[in-house]
Amino acid sequence: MTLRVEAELLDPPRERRDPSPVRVTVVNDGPDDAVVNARLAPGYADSLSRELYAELTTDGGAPAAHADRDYERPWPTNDDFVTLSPGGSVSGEFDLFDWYRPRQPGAYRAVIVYSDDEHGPQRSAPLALDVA
Amino acid sequence: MDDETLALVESFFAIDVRTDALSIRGDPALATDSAMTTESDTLRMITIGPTAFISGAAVRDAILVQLATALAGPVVVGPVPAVLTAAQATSAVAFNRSKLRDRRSVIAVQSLVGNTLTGVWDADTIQRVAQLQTNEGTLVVDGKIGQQTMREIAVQLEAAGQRNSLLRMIVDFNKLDENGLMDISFDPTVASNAETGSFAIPGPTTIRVGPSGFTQGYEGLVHTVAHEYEHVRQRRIGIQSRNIREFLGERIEILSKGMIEEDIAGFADDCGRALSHFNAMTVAEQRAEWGHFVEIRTKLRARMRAATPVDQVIHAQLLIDYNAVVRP
Repeated sequence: MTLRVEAELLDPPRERRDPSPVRVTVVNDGPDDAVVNARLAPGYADSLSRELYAELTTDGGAPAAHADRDYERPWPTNDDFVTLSPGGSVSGEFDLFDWYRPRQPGAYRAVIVYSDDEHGPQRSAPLALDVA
Repeated sequence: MDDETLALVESFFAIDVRTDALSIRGDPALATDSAMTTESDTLRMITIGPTAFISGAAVRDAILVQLATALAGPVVVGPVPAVLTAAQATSAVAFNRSKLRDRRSVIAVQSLVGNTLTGVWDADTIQRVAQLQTNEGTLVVDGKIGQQTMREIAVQLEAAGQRNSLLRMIVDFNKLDENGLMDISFDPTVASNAETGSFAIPGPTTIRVGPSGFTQGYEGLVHTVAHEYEHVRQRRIGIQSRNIREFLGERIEILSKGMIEEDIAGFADDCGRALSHFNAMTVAEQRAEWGHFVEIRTKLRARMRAATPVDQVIHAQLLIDYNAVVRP
C-alpha cells in the first residue's frame, strides 16, 4: 500500500499576512484499496485530531520559527474515513500561513505531511515560498 | 500579526475598545480599510482590511471611523412588566451587578429583553428579565441571572445569531482572566470548536470560536471558552509544550471550578483528551504535571462513582486507562 501526497500552492503569498491556500491531494498509488481520513484537517506534528501538518524550513533547511495556535477539534468520525481504490484520491484545502505564519520575512520551504493512525507520515514535495 | 498591530495601535492611541466594541480584528479579504457589523443593536464587530495596515495612524483612523458611527437602540420600547415587587427588583439589581459587570453584557441583556440600552442594571431591565423567566416556564422568577437563567439567555442569543454578545457574557459571567487576550470573536470560517493563536510564545493571544463551538450546547461552549482562556494564560507566561498546554486546558474543563458542569459524555471526552496529551508528554513533563494528573483522576473517579450504571459501563475503559497510569 502506497500513498502519495501532492501539495499545490493555489495563490502564492507575497507578504506573511496574505492568505496562502494550499490544496492537498492524497493519492492511492498502491495496487490495493487504502483507507484514509478524508477530513484532511490541519494541525501540527505534535497535536491531536489532525490529518495534515507542515514542516516549515528556511531555504537552507533549518526549522523556521512560525506563529501557531492551539485548537479544540472533535475527533474524526467514521464518516471521515474513506476507501480509496488504486489510483483514487481525496483532496482538501487549508491556509498554510493561517497555521504556520513565519515570524520573519524570507524564503521558506513547506512540506505538507499526511498522517493518520494507520499510515506513517506521507510527505509532499516541498513548496517554495518567498515572503516580505 | 495583524492582531498584534491592532492591539499595539489601540494601546498607543488609548482607543476605548471595551465600551461599545465586542471585537476588532484584521480581515485579509476585506476590500476597504474597515467594516462593521453589530449585535445586540449597538455592540460593534469591527474588521480592518489590509489597506489600512500602512501606518499606525491609518489603522487608528480605520478603527475610530467605525467607533464614531452612530448606532441606535430599539426604536420602540414596550411597557415595563410588573412581575416583581420593588424590593425583589432591587435585590436582583444587586445580584446581577455582581454576576455581569461589563456594560456590554448588560446591553446584550437589555437588547434581548427589549429595553433601552443603558449598559446599567436597573429595575426596568430586571422586570423584563423576570418576564423572560416567566415566559420560559421552568425558571425561578426572581430577575436574577444565575446559571439557569444565563443558560436560557445563551440559548436565546444563540438562536438570534448574537454569538459575539454571548461570548462576552460568558467571559463576564465566569470572570475569566483577560490578561494577555487581544481579541475573542465568533468566526464562521473556523472548523474547530475554537482556535487560540499568537505570533510568538510568550505573547498576547487571539481566540476564534467556530460554529461547532456553539452547536455543542451551552455547557460545552462555556467549557470551550474557559479552555481557550487557559491557553491565553499559558501563552502569556510562555508554556512552550503543546501537550502541557492542551493537558492543562482540559484540566480547566474537567475540574470545572466555578463553572456549570458538562454532562458525562463531554466530561469523559475531556478526560480522554487530557490522558492522550499526558501520555504524549516527555517523562520530565509528566513528572512536572503529575500533581495535576492526580487532580484530574480524582475528579474522574468521583464523577464515575456518581454516574448512572449505564454511564459507568460506557466509560469504564476510560477509568481503567486512568487507573493504569503509574507515577513516572
